[in-house]
Formats: sequence, structure tokens, C-alpha cells
Amino acid sequence: MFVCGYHFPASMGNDVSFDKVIEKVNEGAGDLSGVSAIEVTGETSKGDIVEKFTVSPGSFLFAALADYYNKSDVPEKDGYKMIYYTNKYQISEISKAVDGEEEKALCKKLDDMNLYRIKIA
Amino acid sequence: MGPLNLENLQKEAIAEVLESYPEKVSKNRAKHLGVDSPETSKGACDTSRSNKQTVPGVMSQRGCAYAGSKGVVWGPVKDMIHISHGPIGCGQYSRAGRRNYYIGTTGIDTFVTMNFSTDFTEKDIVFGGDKKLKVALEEIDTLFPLNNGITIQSECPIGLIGDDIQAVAKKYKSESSKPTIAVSCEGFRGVSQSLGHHIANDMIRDEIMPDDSARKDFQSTPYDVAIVGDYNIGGDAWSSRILLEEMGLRVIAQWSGDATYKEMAIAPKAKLNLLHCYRSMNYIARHMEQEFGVPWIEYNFFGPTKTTESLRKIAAMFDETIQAKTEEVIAKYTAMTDEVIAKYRPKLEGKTVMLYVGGLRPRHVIGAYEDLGMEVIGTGYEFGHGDDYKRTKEDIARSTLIYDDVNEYELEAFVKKLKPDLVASGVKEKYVFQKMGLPFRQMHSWDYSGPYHGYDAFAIFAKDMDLAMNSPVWSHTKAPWDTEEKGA
Ligand code: SF4
Repeated sequence: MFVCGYHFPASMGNDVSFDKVIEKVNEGAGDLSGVSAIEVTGETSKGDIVEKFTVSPGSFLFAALADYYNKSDVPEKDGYKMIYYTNKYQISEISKAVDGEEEKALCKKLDDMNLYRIKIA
Repeated sequence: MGPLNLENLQKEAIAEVLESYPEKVSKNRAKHLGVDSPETSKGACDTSRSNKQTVPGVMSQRGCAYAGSKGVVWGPVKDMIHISHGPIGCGQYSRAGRRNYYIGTTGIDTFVTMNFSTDFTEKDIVFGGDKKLKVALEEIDTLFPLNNGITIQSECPIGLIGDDIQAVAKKYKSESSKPTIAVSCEGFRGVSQSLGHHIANDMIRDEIMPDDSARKDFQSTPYDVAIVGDYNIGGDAWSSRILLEEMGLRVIAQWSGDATYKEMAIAPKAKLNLLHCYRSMNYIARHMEQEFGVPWIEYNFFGPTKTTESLRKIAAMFDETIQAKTEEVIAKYTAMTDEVIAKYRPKLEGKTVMLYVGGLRPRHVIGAYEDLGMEVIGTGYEFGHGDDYKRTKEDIARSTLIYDDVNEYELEAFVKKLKPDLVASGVKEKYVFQKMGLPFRQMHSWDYSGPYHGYDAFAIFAKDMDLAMNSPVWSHTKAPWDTEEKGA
């Protein structure tokens, strides 16, 4: 199974604990001191931008998005990369469980059916 | 790639191909190739030459008139038996390849996937096959008494030896009192399958339209429509029909996928004919308009944007109740297709596609790809006419390479130059490109998938494109020495 882009072998079962995923994401993301913020946009299926917000450092949401941006091979458009639906869903679920209220509010937005793009600043 | 770069690359691709030809061929082919974009005022969609004889000797992807009649128009009519008149090959190789789905018990009351042939041998060519045909017709009625009529589909040799199939059909019809329709669609007629469509339409006009026995007692409603030119590939007509029915319309006929003789005969009772494949069925739609006063409109059910546009266009032909219901249908399904886009667009956005198909698909499927964020950079028709190219202009979204009756050499050269992420074409092209390590979708039979028409089908379309392009198999298609050379 892949969670946030990391492989968890079948021997670990279907129910991979959030702690294990967080550990892998933090390890994989490495040093993020150079990243000051992550800009997020949400657009409709027709491409109209309906959401715009920033994620600040210090949360799982931040680390996971930055890691996704750096590792994903999704083509860049004006510096932005679109987030895969599955990754978006997984990141949001974990963040809601471990991050603060501010991130929780952002994750609720991520749960809709709009298309989200991210850019690291 | 910027729009200008893309256009230049496309123009270069054409120049390189033309340069490799002898002068005469180069001059001829130059008229069939070009570049167009939504901003250009008179581009290749307006000027491309089409529906002309293929240059002898080149590997064309076209079919023959027999294929157009038997394979496309008549073959899917399920309760009639279509006998291929001539040697066995034409019938056998065109058998069941198009995946025209139908409901019925094959061999009892429906016959689409069966192969009926007069199986000509040398003797029949030398002495004529009329008698054999007559015996075959009798045999059909003995073995399959529930058939609702027979069509005779001529293969090439029939025209050459001069068998009078029309006379045989006429005589048999008077004896059996069942529709017996001779279609002189010999493969060598015309320049492609397109003439076969026309001939097949003419026979529907001459043989089925005058038969008002089914129409006599038919109770019409103000909301009756007929789907014309949907061949129910992988269930396309069914997935279109449910939308029209949800809008409050009554679909009284669908041609010719999953169609019956009776459905074809009652179509003139429709208030509106809905034409999907313009190329293969516009002739009969025009005839019904002139003869029975049934208006017709074209629609496009590929991808949510075009489906929504088409539903509104159809609804505008009816009253406000239908229009209100249509908006409900659109709202209901848009929620679903937005989920599909949310799931697949991130994986497909920015990927480029080159199409080469027939009928309506070179223009109609563009919207479905664009809905997924994919970019169609080349398209062409196997057997399109000028009016098809003109209609294509409305669908292209960017600078697009236009190629008419493109041959294998040209298509390969164009693909090498433009390097699309996906080639979507027919089975004849499939393995050429897959062997080049390129993702490919077979857009004639939906590569054994489908349906692709309507909202529900968009989920299948998106999944298929994702599977084709993002399959890990493509990272294994390079030979070890090629991979090593790059140091990867
Ligand atoms: S071109 Fe003639 S021989 Fe060939 S498939 Fe068509 S009808 Fe048959």
C-alpha cells in the first residue's frame, strides 16, 4: 500500500498507523528550513480559482505538501503542481488527526472535489 | 510548449514529410496536411483536401465501401441477417470486430455477431453466384425463422462478375414476403468506406422508409426522439439513451446499434432526430427531414462539457418542462463528473494526444480529453469530407496538426516529431506505436472497454486514459543498451 507516496508492504497489514506514515514523510522531506510557506490554490473542474491559502511551517500538513511538491513528477504549471486526489485525501486525514485547529480548517477545504495546486515559497 | 513553438514544430513536421516524397506525391499530399488553431481565420480545417483517392501504393488506413455498409451501418441491425455475398474473407474478417452490443438471443432472434456468407469459390466466380445466393436466402429462413429480414452485402467480385443481386432480392422478397434488401456496396466503389455509408443510407431510404406497416398504428408523443448514428460500441447508445430518458424524452429508435427493423421504420415518427455520427448517417437524416419533415440536430456526448452543451441544445428544441428536467440531470451528473475530474486530472493534465480515427471521433472526442486537462495536438479523419473538417474547427483548442487520410509513414513521422504522450487511433496503428514504447488507445472499439458516451461513461474514459498512460509498463519498454547509453 502507498500512503503519501511511501510504500508500506503488505506484511504491515491494511491499517498502517499514522505515526509510521509521519515518520516516513518527515524523514523523506528532509530539511525544509529553506521553505517559508506553501501556497495552495483550489479550482473548479472548469479551471476557475475558488480558494487561495497559505500553509505555514511546523505542521504535518506543511511537511507532507512540501515533500509531495519536491518528489512528485506532476508537470509544473507556473510553478504550481496539482495534488493527486489520493495523496490529498491521505494528507488531509492525517493532518486532521495530528495538526492544530488552523490546519484542520484548511484540510476541510481540501476534502471537496475541487482541484488543488501547490507551490513552495 | 508555447503555442508558437508547437505551431512551428507542426509545420516542420509537415515540411519534413513532404520533402521525402517525389514531387508529384508531395504536391498531392501537401493539400491534405496542414495546421489550424482556434485563432486562425482560414486554416487547415477550411482548406484541407479530403475524400479523394488514396495515392496507390501507400499504406492507407481506410476501409472499403463494403466495410462502410456491412460493418458500420447495416451490420448492427440486430434482428435482420446480413449476408456477405462473395468469398469468405470479407465477412469473416469484419465479423464482430466493432463490438456493437445488443440485447437478444444470438442465433434465435438476433444475429449481429454471426457470420453469414455465400462463401464464393472459383466456380461461382466463373459461372455466377445468383443461384447460390437464392439457396442461401432460403436456407437462412429455414434455419432462422425469427429473422425480420435479410440484407445482401456485395463484396468486390460481385460487381466484377455482374451478379444481379437486385433481381434475386426482388424475387425472393415477393416469395417470402419478408424484407430482402440488396446492397450494392462492392468494396472498390468510391474512395473509402464513406461511400458504403452513403449506399447503405440510400437502401434504408428506398427499402425501409417507404414501409409504413409499423408506423400506421404507432402512437406518437410530443417528446419522441430517435438516436441516429450511434453504433452502441461497448454500450454507447444505452448510456446516451438513459440521459435522454431522464430529461423526459422518449427514445423511439436507436440506429443502428442494438436496432431492429421496426425501430428504423418508425423513426420518421420522431419529433426530432438526434444525429451522433454525422458522417455515416447524415444522408438519411436529411431524407427524413425532406420527406417526413423531421428536423435533426447533431450532438456530442463525449466528456461532460460537450455532453452538457448537447443536452441543453436538445432541450432547447422542447418545452420548459424538458428544459427544467435537463438542468436537474446536468446538476446531478456534474457532481459526479467533477469527482472524476478531481481524481484523474492531476494525473493527466498537460499530457498531449494525437488522434487519427474516422467518423465523428477526430473532433468529438477532443472535448473529453480537454476536460481531463489533456491537450490534443493532432487529429485527422480516415474518410472525412470537407464538412467534417469545417466542423472540427469548433472543437480544436490549440494549434493542431490536421492530417487527412494520413498514411502509416506520415503518422509515424508526425508522432516521432511531436512526441505526444498518447496516440489514440485504430487497431492497424496500435502495435506500431506500442512497439515504439508509446501509450496507445484503440478508439474504434474503445480497446475492449467503453461505453464512452454520456456522463457515466466519462468515468470509464478517464480511467482508461490513466491506465494507458500511467501504467508502469512504459518504463520497461526501452532496450537495455538504450537505457544504459543515457546512464540511467
Ligand atoms: S475491398 Fe473488396 S475484397 Fe476487400 S474487404 Fe472490401 S469487399 Fe472484400
